[in-house]
Amino acid sequence: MKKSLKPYVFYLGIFIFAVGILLKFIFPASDGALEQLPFVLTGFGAGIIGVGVAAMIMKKRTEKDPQKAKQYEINEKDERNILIREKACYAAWYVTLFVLAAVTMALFVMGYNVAFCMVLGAFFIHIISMFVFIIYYSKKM
Amino acid sequence: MKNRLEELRKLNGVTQEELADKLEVSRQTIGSLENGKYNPSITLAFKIARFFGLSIEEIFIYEEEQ
Repeated sequence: MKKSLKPYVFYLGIFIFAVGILLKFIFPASDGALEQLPFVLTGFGAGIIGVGVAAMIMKKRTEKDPQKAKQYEINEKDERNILIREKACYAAWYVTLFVLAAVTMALFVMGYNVAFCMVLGAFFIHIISMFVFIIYYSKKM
Repeated sequence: MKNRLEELRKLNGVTQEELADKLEVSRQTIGSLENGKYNPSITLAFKIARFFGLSIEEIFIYEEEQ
């Protein structure tokens, strides 16, 4: 079976979580971006730890049962499942596009200029990334 | 696209699970193929044809859109 990087995600999560906690201890009375950064990092790290733990449990389960491991691999490589995932990603891209457009307009109306510019940037990256991938796959296929 | 997959599978006494196992796809894919909800890739169509010892045209019925 192909080696998965997912179990290592757990250690990455612990690292980010630890950096967040360390920042809180090193700069306890900080303000500005440093005030929120430890909370963002610990939250992000905790989320990644969760993904890592799930991956490790999955790995342990499949290692114990080769039949289950084979079935898992078949489901991962199954062409219909791949197509379903691709269609879901395509639909999610459009949903995100409309959500970003709505958030951009809402931030503009509410007068949050910095947040508006950041979300507008994300909105453009979201659209441009599609064209970049169209060019990439046009050359590849 | 219509196909004779279910008919051929039953004729050969093979279950959906067994066929899925032989073709290395999920059982759900076999079900969707039989229901005509999903059209296989050319690779899977060849695998199915070889499994039953028939040609692709004998299993899958292509009807041009009117």
